[in-house]
Amino acid sequence: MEHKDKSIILSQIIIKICYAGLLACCILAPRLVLGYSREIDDETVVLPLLITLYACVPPAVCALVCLDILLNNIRKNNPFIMQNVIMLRVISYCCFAVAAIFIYFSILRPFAFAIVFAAGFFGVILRVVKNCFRQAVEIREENDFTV
Amino acid sequence: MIVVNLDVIMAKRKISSNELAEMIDITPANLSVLKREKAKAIRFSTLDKLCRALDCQPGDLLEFVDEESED
Repeated sequence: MEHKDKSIILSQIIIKICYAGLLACCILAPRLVLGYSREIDDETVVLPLLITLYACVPPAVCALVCLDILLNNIRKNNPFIMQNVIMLRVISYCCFAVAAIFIYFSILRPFAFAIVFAAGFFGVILRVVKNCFRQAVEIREENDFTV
Repeated sequence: MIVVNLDVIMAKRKISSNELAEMIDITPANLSVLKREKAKAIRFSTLDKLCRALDCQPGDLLEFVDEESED
């Protein structure tokens, strides 16, 4: 039990670090993008890359908030509830949104297709996990209402 | 759908929910779930206890109502 709690606390700390990382990226993005454009000697990527990165912020924040709620529910010993299924679904949509946002930039820079693929792949995995959770919720409800 | 006629039988036998719950050794909350037709399943052991306590047959407690033909 103690080990489980430690694991959840560690996950929550990682999420907080991700929040901080996201905030740092938002602040430092223009500088990083300018540095990158100088490195590849192509200033045309600055604007599309900045727009792409800032467009990814809302889904990223949304996914982090959902993960936080999910972990809180798990900590309260409530993993198999409908709210968690909804959270997993929203996180998977966030992954698909990031994949869709990066499609345009991947046309300009094909290496960015790796991000599209990775985000889309995460989205699919999360959808499968969500389906498993949904079934678990149904089984739990059936069990709870068996007299 | 399956309709639970538990409250009808209980009224006929003049037995309260708390008394019945105590007799068949289930919680009043679970009995309430059964009475309000919120239950998704009923164990044979519970049905057995109910029939014994209320001196009835499973068919007296449970009734099949064809909703499609009613529409």
